[in-house]
Amino acid sequence: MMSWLAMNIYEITGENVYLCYLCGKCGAGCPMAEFMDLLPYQVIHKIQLGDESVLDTESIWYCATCFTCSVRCPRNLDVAKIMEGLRIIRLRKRLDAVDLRSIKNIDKYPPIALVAASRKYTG
Amino acid sequence: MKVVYYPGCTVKSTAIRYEKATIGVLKSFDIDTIEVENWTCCGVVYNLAVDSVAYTVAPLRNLIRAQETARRNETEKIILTLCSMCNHTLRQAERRYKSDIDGASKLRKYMDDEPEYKGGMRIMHLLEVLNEFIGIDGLKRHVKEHLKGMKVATFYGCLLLRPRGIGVDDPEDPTIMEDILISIGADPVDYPYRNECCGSYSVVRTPGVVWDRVLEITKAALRAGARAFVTTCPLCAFNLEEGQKYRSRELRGKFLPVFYISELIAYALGRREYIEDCVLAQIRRLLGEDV
Repeated sequence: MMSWLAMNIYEITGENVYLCYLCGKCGAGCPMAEFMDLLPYQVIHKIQLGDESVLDTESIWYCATCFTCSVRCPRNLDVAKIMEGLRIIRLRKRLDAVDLRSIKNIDKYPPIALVAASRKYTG
Repeated sequence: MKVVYYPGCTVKSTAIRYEKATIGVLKSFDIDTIEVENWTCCGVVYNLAVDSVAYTVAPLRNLIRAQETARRNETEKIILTLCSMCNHTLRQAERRYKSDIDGASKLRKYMDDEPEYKGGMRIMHLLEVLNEFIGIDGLKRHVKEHLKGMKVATFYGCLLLRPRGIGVDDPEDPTIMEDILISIGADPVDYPYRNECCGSYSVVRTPGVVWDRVLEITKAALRAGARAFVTTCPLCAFNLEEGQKYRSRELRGKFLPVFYISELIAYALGRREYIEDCVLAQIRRLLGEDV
């Protein structure tokens, strides 16, 4: 049976997490792996099991959508899309990881960094 | 030839030196750039949700305005982009509009105050324009100041190469930047981080993470013998420069200057007027000239 979370991810992103056989290639190549509390394939495993605690992981916000995992997945899963799906579930509840008002020296950043970080407003 | 040019927010602000060098280089090859009329932000991060088209509105609006600019100015049906993120977002939107019939009709209804997007605009990154319309031989023929085998580390970053079908070259083994640099006399080094992510916009939320990434990237580039970074992404450039400053102790004071590829090309063509003074001084120092 598909978990509620897996179903939700499927509807938001079109990706079926049950295709994943947990080979770990996404985690091995992820540039953010060392900072993540759960590696991408561990996140996917939790979605398969319907464990909604993945929505509270730091990992989904450390993912910068660089698509390294997506171009390497032997099951042709778009892993970056799945991570995005989890963020979208959060963002649609108006929960964002960044509060721009709390950032110091905001004027030194290039505009692309600031717009990109304002996920709640720009998607 | 004339092409439509979509600058995007950052090329017009923190990366203005990139625009100056690029427009100058293209002009010396008789490629005129006409800026999209009334362009807006592209949205930067392309939302990957398939159940909503709301986030495709911003990039599509820019595609429509580019199409109209092309029509009014009788240019080629080419949109030139300099920023990796703009390039990515516009291409994702174009692909979505072409392949998602329901989504496209929803977008048309939602955006009925703009002319219809007819498709057929080709979004090309600067590297592709250089490669396709000037070519390696074309560049070679115009070199006036050889870069004397300057050892440089290319930095492609993430969104210029990925995902497949959107990126400008092979995501695992890109060569487009190296080919161009070799043609102007530079010597690009091989190191493992050139097609990896620099940490991107994480710099706003968790800057330390990005500085650590940049430390690893810089150490690898130094080990390979590089004396400068070359990139095309204004966010990579910012992260690489700032990261090296914040981790200067770990790097023992070593610092690799970050150049945009068009600055090195402008130098090789002998068009120093297109390069900012401080950047020009860095290039000359690396070439062993008295500054």
